[in-house]
Amino acid sequence: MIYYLFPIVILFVIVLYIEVKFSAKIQTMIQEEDWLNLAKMLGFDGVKLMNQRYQKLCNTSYLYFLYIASGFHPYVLVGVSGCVIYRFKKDYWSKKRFLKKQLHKIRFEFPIWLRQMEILLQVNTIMKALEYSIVNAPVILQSDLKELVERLKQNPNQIESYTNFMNNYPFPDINRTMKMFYRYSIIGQKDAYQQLNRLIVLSAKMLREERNNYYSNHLAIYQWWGIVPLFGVTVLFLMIMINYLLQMMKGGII
Amino acid sequence: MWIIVTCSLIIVGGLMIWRFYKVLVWFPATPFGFFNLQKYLRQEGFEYTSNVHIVKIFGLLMIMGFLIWIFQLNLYFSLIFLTVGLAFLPIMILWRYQFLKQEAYFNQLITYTQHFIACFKQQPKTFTVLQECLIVFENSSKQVLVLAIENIKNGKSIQFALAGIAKVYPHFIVLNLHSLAVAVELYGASEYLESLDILQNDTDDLIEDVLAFKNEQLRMKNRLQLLICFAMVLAGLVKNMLMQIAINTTDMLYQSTVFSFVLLLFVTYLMSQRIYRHSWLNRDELR
Repeated sequence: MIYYLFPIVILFVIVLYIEVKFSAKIQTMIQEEDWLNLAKMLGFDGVKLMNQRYQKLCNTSYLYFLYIASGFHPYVLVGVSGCVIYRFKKDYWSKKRFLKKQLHKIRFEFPIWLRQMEILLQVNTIMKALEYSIVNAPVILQSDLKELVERLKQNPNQIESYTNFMNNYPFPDINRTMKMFYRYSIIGQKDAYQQLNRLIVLSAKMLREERNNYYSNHLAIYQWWGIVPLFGVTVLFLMIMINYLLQMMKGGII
Repeated sequence: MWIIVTCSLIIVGGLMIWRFYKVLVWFPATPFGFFNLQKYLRQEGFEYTSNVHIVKIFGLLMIMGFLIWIFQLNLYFSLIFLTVGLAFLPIMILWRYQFLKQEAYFNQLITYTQHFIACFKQQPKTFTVLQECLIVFENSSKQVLVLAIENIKNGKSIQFALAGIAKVYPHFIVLNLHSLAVAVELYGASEYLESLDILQNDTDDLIEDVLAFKNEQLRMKNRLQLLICFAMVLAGLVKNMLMQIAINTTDMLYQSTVFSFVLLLFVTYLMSQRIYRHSWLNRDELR
């Protein structure tokens, strides 16, 4: 008994020591490359959450004692490793999935909001148009829009007030549009007219692209489904053949 | 073997019924199911008669009976197959009516937008424009417009009146159109013709994209149904070919394989009908 327990206790102490002593270094080593970027875009505390993930990893890694207890069975090793990796990566995957959804939503909703702005700009100033647009703006943009309006109320002539709008997300179109709005408000309607026209063309293109993407995604499953009946025929043929062979075998081979 | 097949069928059937619980309430072979379906469709504004119902059931039974006869399914599997087919008939009917409803909604939305823009170009007065729009609206949808006109008559603000319409048609084009109308009416903006052109272009793009999508969907549906027929013919040929060498069709392996195959064909047909279910408008475009 002691013969088995002694190495386990030693291993436990070593793991505990490493976990406490080199915690920060290990965290940096195992952290995903885009983790901090993800945290910046989604607005959560990347370091704090990484710490929590590390704790989860440490807690789950004690399952490796099961591997030792099982007499180093390879299946147990695979199972335990799977559990450990899943527990550690779960938060990262869910955040990444959420970001993907958000980006898709923004890609679709930003041009819609832009259309609204174009209409409002025909009869309003930039400031008023932004303010009026909040009510009917897509939900995902509303909080950023409110912040933008607040910033503009305090510093209406600073370009940063505009360019800070949704700067967490990797969309050059948003930044370009905001710069255009800045020029529009500073230089005036006359000179910015051409740019507004360009913006109209751009947003219309973006909107149609996203709409058609959405439609083609919906159709994708049906395109694949077409294979199913033909696959069914193949399986049917094979099964009937097997059935025939089995019947022949029962009768005995002459 | 029989026990395994029966248990798995009970589990799959249970899951399907749990997922589509309406199947039980609308089971078409019973008068109770028919009346429930008819009541629901009447609420949605459709007339659904018993004659149509009987024709649909009869048509489905004919096709399924043909499959059973061709592949020589035994009584046990035939009954399961017929039950599954009948159970999903109401869902297919509902998808079909859902399609018609959405088509009507889309047409009404487009008519309203186009007519509003055209009238507003002539005379930028919301009240007059709404009255003009009343002419092109279908009877069932007129109520919302009448209410908006009544609200303006009773001294309510234009925003309030238009908000009622926007609730029924919350598409971003309609909202933009309303925002512009309010701005023109309240603040006397004069440079609105270009905005109306933008909105007109948006509407045209929407019509073009949606109709292209719908055509593609219907093409896909036809393709799936053609593939089902093709698979059926092929399987029939295979079966007839193997019958020449005196295969035993009462064997469990043969029966369960053929049953899985016809069920697969039915599911594919269900998928082809499911195409009708998709919304005409992208949810992200609605507010």
